[in-house]
Amino acid sequence: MAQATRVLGGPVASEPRLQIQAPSQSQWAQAWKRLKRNRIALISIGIVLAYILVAVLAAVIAPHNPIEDNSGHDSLPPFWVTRSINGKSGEAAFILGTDGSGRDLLSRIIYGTRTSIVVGLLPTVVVLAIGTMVGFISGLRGGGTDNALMRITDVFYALPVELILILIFITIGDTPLGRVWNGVLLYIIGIAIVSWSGLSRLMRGSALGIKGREFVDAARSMGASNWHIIFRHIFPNSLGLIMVWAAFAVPRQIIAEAILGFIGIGLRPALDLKDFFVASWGRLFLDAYANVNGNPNFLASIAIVVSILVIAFTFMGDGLRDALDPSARK
Amino acid sequence: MAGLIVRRFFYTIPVLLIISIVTFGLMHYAPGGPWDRDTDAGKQIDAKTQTLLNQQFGLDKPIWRQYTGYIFGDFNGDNGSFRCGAICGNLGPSYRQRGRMVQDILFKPFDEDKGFIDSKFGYSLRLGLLALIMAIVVGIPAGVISALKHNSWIDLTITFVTNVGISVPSFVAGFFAILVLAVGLGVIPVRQQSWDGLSPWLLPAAVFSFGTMASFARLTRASILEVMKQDYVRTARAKGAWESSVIWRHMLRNALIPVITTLGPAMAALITGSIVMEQVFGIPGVGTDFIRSIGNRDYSMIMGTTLFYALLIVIANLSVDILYGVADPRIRVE
Repeated sequence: MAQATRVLGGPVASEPRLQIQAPSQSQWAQAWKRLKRNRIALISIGIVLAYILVAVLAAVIAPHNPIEDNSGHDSLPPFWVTRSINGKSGEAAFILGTDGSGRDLLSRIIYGTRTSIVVGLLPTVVVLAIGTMVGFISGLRGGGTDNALMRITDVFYALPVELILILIFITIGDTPLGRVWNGVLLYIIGIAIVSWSGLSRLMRGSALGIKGREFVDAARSMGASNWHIIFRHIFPNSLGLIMVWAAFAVPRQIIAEAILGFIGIGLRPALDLKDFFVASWGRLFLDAYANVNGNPNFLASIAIVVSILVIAFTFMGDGLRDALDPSARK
Repeated sequence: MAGLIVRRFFYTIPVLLIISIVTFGLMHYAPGGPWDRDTDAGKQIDAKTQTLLNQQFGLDKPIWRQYTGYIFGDFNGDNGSFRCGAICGNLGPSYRQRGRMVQDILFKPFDEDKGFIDSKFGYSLRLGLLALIMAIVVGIPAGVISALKHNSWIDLTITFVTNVGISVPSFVAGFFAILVLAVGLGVIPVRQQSWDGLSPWLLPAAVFSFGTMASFARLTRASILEVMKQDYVRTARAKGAWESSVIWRHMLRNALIPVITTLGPAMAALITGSIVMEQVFGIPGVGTDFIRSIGNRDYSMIMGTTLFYALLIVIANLSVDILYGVADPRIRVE
């Protein structure tokens, strides 16, 4: 009852309560305590934050212009390599070496990080908005609404993800819509189409579990609307699940961009530094792989950079799950 | 059980219809037609030839009729006879590889005397099947060992490798394999010359299966740990059953049910993922052709391949649903 009173915005019950020995802790404070003990998860969060920082500061920390061709300095290995397969030796100015056109690799990776972080995070926000709403409404309303929404979800759930993304980029990539933000907008739309259904299934399950709890009955008995129950009860109680889902969704989307770029479709990085998206990891994979025999360090650099980030996201997601739901810990 | 199969079967029809409508619609929305960039001799096809070509391929008809013609069939055969569409396995003529049907490109063996397994799709299928087998044969036992030796060093090692396997995408793993084995050590060539026999396929399939293997191992481990605590396992031990019988008959049988549910997504990932893996290892399968047809806007090829892959994924999911019903009697009743 006390909880229902508080969440409805009424006066907080002030009757004297039993004194409990331990100070009370919120669910989140407890989760944070558990997370702090998980060293791998903390390191992973640190790595993810570092990548985000690199993305934000790309223009400041990149040592070179990422799209400037340095003629005479093409296909260089990293600076510590004295003699590469192609007979060239590294130069201190180009820390990770250069690509086939003499563009500085480190700077391109840094700018690519900016693109990849955006491409990982922005679609997640859109998918979260669609997926949670459909799932919550479906779970809470039940009956015919639930049935109809779930049949639609089933159809979208069965769509082959990569195939649909490839198809969208083949057909719309060249249109004005496909060129907005160098293709990032189209990418967001594509990801939204293929991945909301998984989340909405998850959220429907969560809503079904929460709507049977006493505090929802209490809120309802005081006349709370469906929207109130969604935003004040179901959403906060599903937040843990949502965070874990997002921690796994972001790297998936970063990888999907890399795959599309590697196939040769996908984002079209700009050729003007005034634009925001001037490099993408997908394109870097394509360039690097085309030149793997002459300059294998290029491919190694980009593969390592991408792997570290996706591994960090996985360990972070695992850590979050363990912290938020200790009973699931195996 | 029969009811379950029939019901699931009818679920697949709207999925396939929607995929085909979306694919078809997108193809037509896309700027440029199939004849646009046909500049073999450096010149555009003239308008008259284009009209003829459009008539020949049925592109002069209203769009809904093109769609139904493509999917179900139309009277555009010789002398206006009925020609069956995609539902009969007729994916139409390729716009680029003149005189060849899309289904021939996908399924016809490279040589007359060779079997289906040496076709474009045969190559993709080899890669995917081999990877699936590896994932099952290595992943599930690894998960079982990990769970039985819970918290030992072997468990921690398997868990760590599993986590890496789940996060690193297979095409990046493929790059590492190529960098180390081909460029670094020179054990294998960057591009295989021949794909005959089994040995050239082992490395690509192993790399390809790594992620699926890891997710099988992880799920099996979690599932066994869950099952180990169940009453029926304690009962089996209490009545003096052999340990091997407890593991195989009581634990594994129940623990594998959740693993079966992920077989569907895993197969789907292996089917569509082969498009990328073929590019990484230079395997001349469907994926390589698909990407080429993207480049030169061979619409019927793109459409046919997409539909076929969608069908494969739908069949994979359907068969897993049925398998699930076989493995877990509770599903059948529902």
